[in-house]
Amino acid sequence: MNTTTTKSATEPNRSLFSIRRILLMLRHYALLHRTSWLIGLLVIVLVPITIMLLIIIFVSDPSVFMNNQSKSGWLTIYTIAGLLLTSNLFIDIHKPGQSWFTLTLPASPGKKYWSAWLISGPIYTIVAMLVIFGLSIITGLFRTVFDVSFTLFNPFTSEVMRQIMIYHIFHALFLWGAVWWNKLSFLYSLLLVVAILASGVLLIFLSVQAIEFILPDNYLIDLGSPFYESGLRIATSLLWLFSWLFFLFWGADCYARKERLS
Amino acid sequence: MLHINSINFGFPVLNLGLFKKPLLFENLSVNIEQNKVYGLFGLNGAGKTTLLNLMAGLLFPKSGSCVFKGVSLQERAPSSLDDLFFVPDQFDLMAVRGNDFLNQYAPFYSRFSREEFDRIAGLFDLSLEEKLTHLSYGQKKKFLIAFAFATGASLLLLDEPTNGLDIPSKSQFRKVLASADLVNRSVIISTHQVRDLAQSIDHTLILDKGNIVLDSSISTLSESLAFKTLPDSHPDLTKCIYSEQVLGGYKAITTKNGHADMSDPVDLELLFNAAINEQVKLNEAILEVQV
Repeated sequence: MNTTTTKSATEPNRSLFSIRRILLMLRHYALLHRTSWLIGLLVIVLVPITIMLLIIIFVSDPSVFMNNQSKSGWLTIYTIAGLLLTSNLFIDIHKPGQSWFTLTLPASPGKKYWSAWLISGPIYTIVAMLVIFGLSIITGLFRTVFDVSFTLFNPFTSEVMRQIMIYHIFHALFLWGAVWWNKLSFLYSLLLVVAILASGVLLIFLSVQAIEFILPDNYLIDLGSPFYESGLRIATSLLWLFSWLFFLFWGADCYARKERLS
Repeated sequence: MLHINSINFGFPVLNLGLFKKPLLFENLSVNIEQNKVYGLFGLNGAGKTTLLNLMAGLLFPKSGSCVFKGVSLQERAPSSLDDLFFVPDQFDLMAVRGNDFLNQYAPFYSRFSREEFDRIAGLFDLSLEEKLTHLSYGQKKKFLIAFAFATGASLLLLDEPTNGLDIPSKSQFRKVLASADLVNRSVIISTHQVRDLAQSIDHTLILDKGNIVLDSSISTLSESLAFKTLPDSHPDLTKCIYSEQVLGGYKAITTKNGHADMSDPVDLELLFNAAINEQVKLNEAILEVQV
């Protein structure tokens, strides 16, 4: 029998902000999903290396394949893997056999939810960027064998930053979906994204039709003009920001109201 | 300690507005006091597990409130969750070793005592090196019971704690309950197996059709009611509150009428049947003595 004494949390329980409890919640999520995350990481690391090796073994002139730049591929994998991870993050609160434990763990619903956001958003992004950087070194080494020039992955380019921003906006919706739907939350969230985008396109189309109907025939809107372009950019940015905050806080509210399933 | 005030609760059903599902609890109120071991009894489907879920803050009432030490359980405040532990009847544990589980989750509980956990785990003969998912249902339950007592929570909610326990473990569980420090602490045990815990309980709550039909301490019951085995055609049978035919006579509950009467200890099975079938007579008899 192990008789070592477990360290107990000594902070006041009523404190609104407790780093220790947030760290414990992060460890809880890591412990709960460690197998699937490890498998995912291994797949992401081993698949490209295996493909590289297969190319070297079976293709007569591998340098043709080695010339392809893979940055956008990595970023796509980063986004899809992250959204999959996010969708499964609250899998325990949808199972009657497990939800009682997570929901009664002594941490506020806010800490539980925002810890989940932290691990699947910023922390996941940092880890993913480090993994992609590591992979770019490995694939770069393969390329040098075939005298193909390569550039190391730089996470601080505008393209990567834009993709990280896009990921975080969709991440908020998928995090909300992970709380809202009891099963198949990735699929349902994806369908919701498609529905929202389709509604947006329809709304814009109808708005344009309505404006054309209202305006006189000889009146032309120059969408390419700086006035309209900057206006559109600001409106789009605000819409993205609003969507991000809306799903993020709606998710937090849903988590706080989550009950045990019977 | 825990006040349940006029709660209404029912499970949501998809009924297209044609049928109204009756509420499981309508205007239900219960007060849980400190330093007591409560026995929560009820027929299947009476709502015992639902009531425990409400007490743990896992379900929210439609109206009314569940307040634990001045804080609504609906808030799921860390201070409440740190001071309350629920052991459900049906549960899954993580695929981690017992020691890893303790290292991860014990720090959430500010009063967790590893020494207390080891003491109870020793009584239950638990192995902490095995993965929790590899343990049998009974072993998992014993692990969780040990964890619950070690948290130092002042309210323990145990749903069918002896379900799945073998005969020696049931006896060990009674020892754990008897040896646990119950100062400023209460335990609510929901069970069908009345005989397993008859000696451990000092307050009974009997739930029937969404209502608490009996809420009384064992000492009050002992003072007011006499549990007897009477032969056929005994004159007391006509005056008793409730009786059941057994081999060679009747088991009956009668009033003590204020004087010390020789009788058997409180028979929880008989009391339960009386509360379900003769709740008005039973409560009147208890009230009469209390007044």
